[in-house]
Amino acid sequence: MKFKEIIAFTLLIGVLSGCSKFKDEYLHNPDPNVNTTANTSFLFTNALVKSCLRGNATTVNGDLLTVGYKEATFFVQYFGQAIYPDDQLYQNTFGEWSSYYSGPLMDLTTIIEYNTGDKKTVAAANGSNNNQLASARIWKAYLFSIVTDRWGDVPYFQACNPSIITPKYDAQKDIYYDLFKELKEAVAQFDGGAVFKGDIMFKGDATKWKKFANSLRMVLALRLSKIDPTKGRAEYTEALTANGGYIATNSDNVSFPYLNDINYRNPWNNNIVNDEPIGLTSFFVDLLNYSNDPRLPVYARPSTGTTYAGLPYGLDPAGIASWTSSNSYSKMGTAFYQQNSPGYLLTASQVLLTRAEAVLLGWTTGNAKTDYESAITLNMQQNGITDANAINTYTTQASVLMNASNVSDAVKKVALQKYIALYPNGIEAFAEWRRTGVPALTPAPFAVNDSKMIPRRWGYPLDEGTLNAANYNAAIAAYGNKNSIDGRVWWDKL
Amino acid sequence: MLCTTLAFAQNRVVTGTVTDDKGDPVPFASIKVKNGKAGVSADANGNFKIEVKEGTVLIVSATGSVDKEVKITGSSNIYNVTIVKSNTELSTVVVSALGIRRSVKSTPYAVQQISGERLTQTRETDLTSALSGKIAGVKVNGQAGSKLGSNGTVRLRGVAGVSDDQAIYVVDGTIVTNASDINMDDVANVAVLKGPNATALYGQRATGGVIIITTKKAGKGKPLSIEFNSTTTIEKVATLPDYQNVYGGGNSPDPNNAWAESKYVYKAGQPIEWKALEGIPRQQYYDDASWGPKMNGQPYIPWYAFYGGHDGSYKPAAFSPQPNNIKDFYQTGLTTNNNISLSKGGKWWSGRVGYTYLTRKGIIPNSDQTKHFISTQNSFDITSKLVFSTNIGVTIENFKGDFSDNYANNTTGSFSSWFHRNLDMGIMKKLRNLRTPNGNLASWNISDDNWSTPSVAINNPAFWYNPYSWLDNLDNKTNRLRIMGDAALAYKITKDLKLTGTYRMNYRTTELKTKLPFILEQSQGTFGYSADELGVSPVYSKYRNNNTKYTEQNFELIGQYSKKISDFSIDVVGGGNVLDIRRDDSSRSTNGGLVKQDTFEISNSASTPSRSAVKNYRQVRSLFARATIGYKDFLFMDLTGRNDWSSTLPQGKNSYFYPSAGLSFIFSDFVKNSPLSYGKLRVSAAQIGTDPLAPYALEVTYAKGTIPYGNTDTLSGVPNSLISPNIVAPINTSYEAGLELRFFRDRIGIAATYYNETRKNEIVSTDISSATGYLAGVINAGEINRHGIELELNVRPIVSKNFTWDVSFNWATNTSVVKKVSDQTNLFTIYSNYVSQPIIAGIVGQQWGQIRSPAGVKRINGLPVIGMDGLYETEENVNFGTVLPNYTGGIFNSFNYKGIILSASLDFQQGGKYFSFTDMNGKYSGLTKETADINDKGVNVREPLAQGGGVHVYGVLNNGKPYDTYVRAYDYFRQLSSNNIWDYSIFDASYLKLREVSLGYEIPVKKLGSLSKTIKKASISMVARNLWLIYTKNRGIDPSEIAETYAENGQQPGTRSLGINLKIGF
Repeated sequence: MKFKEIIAFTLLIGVLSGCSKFKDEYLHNPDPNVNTTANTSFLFTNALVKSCLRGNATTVNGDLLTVGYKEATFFVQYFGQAIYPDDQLYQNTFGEWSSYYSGPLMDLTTIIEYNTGDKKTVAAANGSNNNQLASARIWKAYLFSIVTDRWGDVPYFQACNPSIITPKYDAQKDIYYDLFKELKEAVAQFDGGAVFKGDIMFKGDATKWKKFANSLRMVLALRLSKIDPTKGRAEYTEALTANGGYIATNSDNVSFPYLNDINYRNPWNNNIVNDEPIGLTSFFVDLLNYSNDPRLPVYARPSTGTTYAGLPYGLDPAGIASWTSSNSYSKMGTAFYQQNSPGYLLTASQVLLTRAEAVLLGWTTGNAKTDYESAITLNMQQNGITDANAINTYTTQASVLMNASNVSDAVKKVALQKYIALYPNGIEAFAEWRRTGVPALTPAPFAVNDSKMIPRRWGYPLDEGTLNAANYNAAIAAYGNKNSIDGRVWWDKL
Repeated sequence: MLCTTLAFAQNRVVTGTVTDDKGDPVPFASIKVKNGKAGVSADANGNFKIEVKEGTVLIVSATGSVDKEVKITGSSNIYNVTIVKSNTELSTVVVSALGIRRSVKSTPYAVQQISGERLTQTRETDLTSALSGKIAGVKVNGQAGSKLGSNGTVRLRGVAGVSDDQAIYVVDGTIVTNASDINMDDVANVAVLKGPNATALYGQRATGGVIIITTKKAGKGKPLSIEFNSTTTIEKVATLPDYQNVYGGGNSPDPNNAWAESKYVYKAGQPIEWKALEGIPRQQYYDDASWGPKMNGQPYIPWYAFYGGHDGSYKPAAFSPQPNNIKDFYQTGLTTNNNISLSKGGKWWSGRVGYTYLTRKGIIPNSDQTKHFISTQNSFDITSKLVFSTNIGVTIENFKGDFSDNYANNTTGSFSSWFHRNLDMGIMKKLRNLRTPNGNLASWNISDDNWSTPSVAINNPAFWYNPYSWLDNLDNKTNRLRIMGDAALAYKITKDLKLTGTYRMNYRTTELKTKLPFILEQSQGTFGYSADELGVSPVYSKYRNNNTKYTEQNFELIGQYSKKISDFSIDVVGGGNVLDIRRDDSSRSTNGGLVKQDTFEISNSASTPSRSAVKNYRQVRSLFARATIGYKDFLFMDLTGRNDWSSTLPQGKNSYFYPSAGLSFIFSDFVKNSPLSYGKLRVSAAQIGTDPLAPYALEVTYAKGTIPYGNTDTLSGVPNSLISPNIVAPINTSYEAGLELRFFRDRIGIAATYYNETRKNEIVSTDISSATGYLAGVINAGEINRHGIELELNVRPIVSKNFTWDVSFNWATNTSVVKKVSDQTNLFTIYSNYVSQPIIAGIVGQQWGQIRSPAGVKRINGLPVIGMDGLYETEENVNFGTVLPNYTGGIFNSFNYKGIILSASLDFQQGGKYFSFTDMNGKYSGLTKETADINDKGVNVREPLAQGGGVHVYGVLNNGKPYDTYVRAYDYFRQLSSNNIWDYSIFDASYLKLREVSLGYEIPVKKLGSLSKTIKKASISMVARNLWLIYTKNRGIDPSEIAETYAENGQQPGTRSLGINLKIGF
């Protein structure tokens, strides 16, 4: 070859071999805010935020996972709709769970993985590995308890694992048993080391996490009162005396710390906007009126002047239009939907009511009546009612006063007080209503679902039937091979 | 021996250039000796050289031109020949990949060309719209003319991938991102390359096809030419849904019982002036549907009567139909387009400069647009071997207005979905600044019928602003700047070898500024649904500033070698290219209102402002080559190969090679003395690779949030896609065959093409169970096939001295079938919007683009299943067929009588579907005509069943037995939306449209006396566009202008325009 040709050939080879290599800016996102490794602190903040805030608003419930989930408040008849009342007629027969799984549950799984695997040292920059693990496990257990309470048997042990494309659905019993184990172990895992940086919930306060975990364990244990009282009792009694204690005062109540900022506001602020046409149901207003409940003026705004009236529940569009054209109704009280209003996930009154019930069930010893009355008092205080006389007048009237010797009536009274106290936490109230049957609710007269009954669960997301077919089919076998909203979850025993 | 003897007798060497009637060189023209065998071909610049004998007659011919005979006499040896084109759409050269002009004979694939002149006949300002119906296999998805600044997209040969690949536009070799950046006055020629067989050399960006635009250029040695072109058109609203005009606003199943109260009763505390209204019926102002009372002209209290300070205060009005209220809302638009261009060429240079100024006033109140185009095309011979040339274009565009056609936008989103049919638009316009007692903008949609707290009730609307008030106050401006161009240095190393280095750039910035003043926040709907383009509820006063910057650079080096060796011609092109695309976007927006009212600064945000930035860089490096070997100008073989390296593919697997081979046979050379003047058969096989992944898509990334929680940072993006680490480039393999025939000296031309193309290894983002913690998996799995036929017919039925008639017709059919998605799923989503709407899906075994509805009517043997109440039984996930048409096409006619030219273009589509959210809501809200039609008993369907009203529903019961009954209109139409029944809101998109008509007159300048020395050319014409939608199923929507391609959610109306154009050449 001639010299020139050799040069040309060498150049060509050089060009060809260089062609496949690109500078970094073409291969990795040059945006300094985008990283290939997760910062566990950012991830935890994200998980907490996504669990408690409203995401996209194109559907009635947006991405709501906990606070502000409207559909459940319609099911338990805290609220009804005054215009376009389709959602209170049980129209949405299936629920989307991707916001849980691919949202905070995946984030929490990643945090756990980072703090146990080879990224342990990197992760430790955001707090001790154990503290991160403990907080992430507790929050994950909390979210999974909501997921299983909503759908029943769901992917759990194989969930959030990218190497398993079609995760198996686990029996709710197994899930519950594992949740108890997780909560127990997590409480013991806090090591007093550096606090978890991204913990905007409790700012790294391990005691608060422990109280939340133990209280959650008590609530979940009581959920088994009908189906598996032995396990329920064992877990309940253990949680009651577990290290760290439980939520017993209002200062320990758990709420996401919403800010006076549109980006981090209470979802009810978004739900209600200025005056979304949803109002308290006449059932709920009448219930509160019946016992002259001092919480009514807090829970609701007057319909006219100083009087309170609810919406007739479950009418069709024409019916409700004709009713609203000549009647007014009470809407949510202003204290609940400010941007920074608390949105409670677990409260002292709720826990004390589980204590009263546990005593009545014979699970623990104690004084059910005292617990019951303290619970009411705490809830009144939580709602800004501090007048002891007013509270006393309320608790001593026949419809409220507990006679602990009449156990079945006392249990019902506890359940009713819990129903009132949980307002407007629809998801928890709906679970408790399913377990206790209290209060006795009448289904929407214009219900559009097949059974015309109040749903007992959410249907599985429709795409599971194609994307995870075998496991989905196995799961719906429990509901007569139908993705039925009338089917009952494991603990929801007739 | 005889030949040699003859050759010796030929004693002259004649040279010359073949040009067309415009003076442009005709490359590769054939020069033959009459009644002899000798002959040569002109080169690419039309130059030829031949040895002849004195007195010889040469026949100069080129396809698409009328043959010309030249007798060699006299002393000059230079013969410049001008030949006249026989048919404007048949030409001798085509622009092929990389902008290389090739002889039409040699291309083994379909290329269809159209002259700039024809495209701009009706002075359409948008290239995409101008292409409608003119090229076989091109389907334009247009946008409504009312939406200034937006333009449609082009789909070529249906679809061959998961995504709806768009054709790319290439202007003088430079890829342009947006067709609206192209100045129609600069366009000389448009060539469309459709499949991989033609586009393989363009590489991975060309899988959707290529539209090559060649701009006008000056010729060397040309005298100064000045052209002035001025057009003024007016636009009127063209297409609106068919509304009912019998019942007014309200929401009651029984129109006889639809007043808010029977009569208004004055209550203590209400404004004393309202007493005057006592005893008059009130409308249900708050409910934004039209299920109200019959409009009989009876007195009622109109919305504005409650507010003081105008003519209608405290007075009743007649409850009457307003059939034209929506039409009246749209004003007359006005477009002016003025263009001037200069061109001249010297001995060693040529240059052209053009400037266009476009102004538009839109039909939507408060919308306008201005656009400046400046362009220049120049060429300089530095030496006889070294040529420098450059093309530069600058576009500056500003437009403002609210063009939202999303659900619940404040114009169409209300008019066709949520409105009162009794509203008088004239009064709405007049009272656009009417204020409520506390200073808010008043609206027809008064908040509360409850009237318990009247002072509150009349201060804020329930949902809607007065549309005029919204448009008056919203300030939405977009500024665009585009600089595009190239600079090339070409060096002729030897006579046969040329090397060209080119740098190309396409730079584009867009700035969007939105100012939403406090008055809109203050006056918003109490239910917070006053949706707007900003998508927030509640409405907060707002300032938003979005900037996008796009820079694309190409570094290109190409060598061209051509040589004739006896009967063979060899033509080789080879080179390399580096493509570099950089995207830098930033957007900032206030949140939660503004601290200081109407001070539009990001720092004035009440809550933490949102900020986001996107940086995204990609590079593709390529080496490519093409060799064409010709034999005796009748047989050609084409071979190409290209190798790309894409930065978006996994390192180590980022290289992909794809070849093509083709044959072209000009068989007419063997058919003598027949009407056939040109016959070509072509076959080819080609592959093309692509890299559909976005930059950095392979990385699992976590993005820091744009809005921290207090002082704690969070994330805005967590990975939701599982990406296979083994992703490779998908490859399309295509086979194409074609036949081109021309008869009677090219008076009739026919071209037919068949193609069959399969993409394998398509990268699909396939849904996976979200319980995995991810939503999708990205893998190489998909397979899609498309095949079809394209036909073109060009006829010149009449050619006489005074009258010519040209007709061209094109037709194409395509089928795109999804063969495989992945092992997990047989479905992928192409488009999805609202939860209750259908999605557009690819489903295995079916045509691409199935409309899949969340619900549809359950059917037994095709008959709807109904209950005893006459309402439909439903089933989930129903497919309603593909959005792709069966066939598309167009017809163009042009008549020229003594310089008066009448031309018209029609285009059509058969098949294909779209869904209409507007239609669904229009039915739900009782706005559309069918909700108030007369039934088979002669009674309006809205009247009570007892009085003969109701919709007659036929179907079968669940047991299959036929059943029919009457259903209250209110129940019938509302069930559709309530139960997501889409059967009746999905429409056939077939249409036939008279798109363009122009009537022009070529002023005979030669008769103008002394003026003719300065004026060389002049013409005047009337132009009309979107004249007549001759046929379509749902006349309320123009199916050629669907806002979101597959669907519409609140479609803005199309426009019809009429204008005048004056063209003068100096």
